[in-house]
Amino acid sequence: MITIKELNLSYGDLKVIRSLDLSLAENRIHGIVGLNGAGKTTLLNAIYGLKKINSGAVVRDGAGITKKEMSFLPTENFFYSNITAAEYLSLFKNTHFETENWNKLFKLPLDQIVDSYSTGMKKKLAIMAVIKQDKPIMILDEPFNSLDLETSRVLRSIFIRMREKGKTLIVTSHIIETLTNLCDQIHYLENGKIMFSKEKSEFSEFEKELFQSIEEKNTKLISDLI
Amino acid sequence: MIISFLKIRFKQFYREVSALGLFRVIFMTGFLGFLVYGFLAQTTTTPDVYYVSGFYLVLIAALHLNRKDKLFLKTHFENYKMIYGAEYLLLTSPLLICLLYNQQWLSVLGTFLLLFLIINLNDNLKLSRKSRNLNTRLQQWIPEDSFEWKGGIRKYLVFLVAVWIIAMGTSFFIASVPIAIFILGVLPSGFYQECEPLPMVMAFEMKTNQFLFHKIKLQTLLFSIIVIPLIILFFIFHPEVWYIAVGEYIILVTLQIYMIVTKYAFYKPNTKSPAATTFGSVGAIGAMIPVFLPLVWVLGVWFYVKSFKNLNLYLHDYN
Repeated sequence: MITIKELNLSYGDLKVIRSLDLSLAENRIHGIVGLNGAGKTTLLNAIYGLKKINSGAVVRDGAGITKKEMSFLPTENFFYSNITAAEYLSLFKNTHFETENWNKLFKLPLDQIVDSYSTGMKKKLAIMAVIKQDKPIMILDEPFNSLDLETSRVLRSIFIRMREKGKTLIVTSHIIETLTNLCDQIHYLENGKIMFSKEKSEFSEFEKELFQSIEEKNTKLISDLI
Repeated sequence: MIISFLKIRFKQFYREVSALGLFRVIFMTGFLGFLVYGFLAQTTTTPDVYYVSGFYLVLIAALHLNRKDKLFLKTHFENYKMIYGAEYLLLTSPLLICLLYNQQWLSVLGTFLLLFLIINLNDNLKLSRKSRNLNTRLQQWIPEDSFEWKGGIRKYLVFLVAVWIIAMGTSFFIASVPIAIFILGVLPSGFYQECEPLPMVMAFEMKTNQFLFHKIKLQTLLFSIIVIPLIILFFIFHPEVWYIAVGEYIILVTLQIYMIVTKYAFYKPNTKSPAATTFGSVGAIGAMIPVFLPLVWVLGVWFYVKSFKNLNLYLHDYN
């Protein structure tokens, strides 16, 4: 069990995460959903230890969680200039990972310099690297952004298979449908706090309520403007 | 339009300077003051004034060729060349003031003409384009961990090989090998300007000091493989001054270590830290003006401690 206790994190005076409590059961796919600026990326950065937290803790089975147990996919994917995709992947040591076979799914020109890749191809390469690291916890910030339809479906199947093999996945998205199709549990983040968590059986009801509340909030504003 | 654009540039400059901190700003101001004094002294006589102006304009041309906002400026502003012009005039103002003060009218005219040429350089001109696509066997010989060299060699392979071969062939001239060692030593230190993305740091799964030593070890090893044949030739042809090549080799190795620790002292994933760039240029100046070497070494020790602290944020779980 990964437990986040009373987590607080600020950027200067701006409080981004406010006394956040969250329990994430292992061997499950957790979705974190929220509007832009809700604090999804900051929360993932805090779990992975990329941001110094003001107070609180992230623990796994009672002990502090370490980077050795996690792999991390950032929202935006950057690479060192003038290196090929194969050279990038070779940095991650995993003798069981068969690059050529995995690439049958991702279809990347591995001998090409990454600078010439499109945004979607860079995302695929970053995902391959995360898979190659083979860590028990995978933290994935907007993994489906910029991917084509086929790769999105392939990736969904890969993530489900990884869960079956005992991995825990924490996935963010600002698109609810992406998460309802994939996750076992979804946590709704607003103003740096988890407002509620929903189980798979509650997803359709949750989705309906969420869309309804968004429409109620904005319909009048839109009709006033247009 | 140009005024508002320059105002934005000043704000950006102010933010970058603020990020440096008071101590570094004082240090850099003193350092720049020393450089301007150097310019003033070097622009009094010919032909020195031509060398200084030429060097300054080569830097401006390099900046122009490497700037990443060309497409943005081109698509958003009709008079984007005026913006280039205004920016480069501002950047060249220390040189122009020195030239005007020393009444070097010919150099002033030449500087304006060359600035005009730089502004009108083809926007798509990339000197290193051809070599960028090189994917040679040489890359396979470079250790997997040394992505800086894999990328750097790909970019500069033709130039580096040419320098090496010319130096081998002309090693019976006393200046040939030292010049080649200098070029082959300074160029790879530029491989460390860019901060790699975090997964590339984490991939090593090493303790902080282990990580830093690993980087230094790889750099020294690869540099040594390139220059040791040249040093041997220098020993054969000029045994009476053998210490020149050895001394140069040691100084360049320390400069490369300085570049590595400077990069990681200010490391932030996926960025080019202004502080690292600034202090990196101190290292480059140290390579050219040996009087700065003790300063570079002292800074190197300081940055080693700083890089250790900075990398701990990312690697402390492996400590």
